[in-house]
Amino acid sequence: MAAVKNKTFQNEVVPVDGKQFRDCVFNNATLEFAGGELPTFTDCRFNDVKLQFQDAAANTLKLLGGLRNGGFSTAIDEILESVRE
Amino acid sequence: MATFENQQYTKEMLLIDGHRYEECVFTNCTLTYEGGELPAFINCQFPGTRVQLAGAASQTITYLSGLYKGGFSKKIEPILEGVQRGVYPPEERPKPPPPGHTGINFRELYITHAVLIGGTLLLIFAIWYSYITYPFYEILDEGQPLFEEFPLEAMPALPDSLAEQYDLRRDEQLALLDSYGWVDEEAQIVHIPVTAAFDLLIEQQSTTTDEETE
Repeated sequence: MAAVKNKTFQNEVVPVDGKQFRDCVFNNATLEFAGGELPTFTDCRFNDVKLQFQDAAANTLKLLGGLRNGGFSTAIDEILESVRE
Repeated sequence: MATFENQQYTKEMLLIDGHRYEECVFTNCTLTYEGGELPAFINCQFPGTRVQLAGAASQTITYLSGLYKGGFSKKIEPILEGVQRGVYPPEERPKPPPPGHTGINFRELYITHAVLIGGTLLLIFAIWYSYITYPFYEILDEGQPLFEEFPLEAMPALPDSLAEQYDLRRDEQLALLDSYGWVDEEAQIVHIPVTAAFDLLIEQQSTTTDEETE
């Protein structure tokens, strides 16, 4: 897992899979997650960041939307609700 | 992508990544998805079947959950709502046009109008100046041709004695008009002066008129 320390990301897309961010600043940056190893953020500041999903992560969200409209609404709602808990 | 048609699955755990199922029935099964290529289900039935996420798909939910609890709930909520409405990825609204194109940037508006008006006035002035300075009524100098003269070299060559020949011919014709002579001696045809011919014609006409009266 790669460590990223004391770095400022400004107006850029930052792939976050498997990275450990410490004391970083994200200004108007886009955090891009592709479904890989989970990132960690320690003592980071986020100013107007956006979230973006790629590959497996994007596929997962698309599948969940499709399944919910295809008869699995209860099961998918439970998964989504688990995110909120 | 494997395709399965008219299959019956009962109490099975199936990894569905990248597979295509047509006319299949899943009874009390567990469909596991790991975030790979999206599966397709065509006219399938799922009595008692549940969905399970694993691998990258499970990681994604964990990632979303972590961000939600870490202060990004306002960012995550639209994503979850989009998934629930089946419109993920959410349609991005088009970016607003830059202020220079919206009409509220009066400075740029003034500059644009000033350039347009200035250009129009300049064009009108150029047309007017061209009109008053163009030589519509130019007076030619002495001997100056109106248009370029046709080069003499291109003209057909005429004999220098043409005028003399013309004069001789004309004198001959005038002499014939005022003299007596033969035109065709064998046929007894003569020419007489024009004045004599007129007198003769008048005399013949009066003679004919007298005969008719008698």
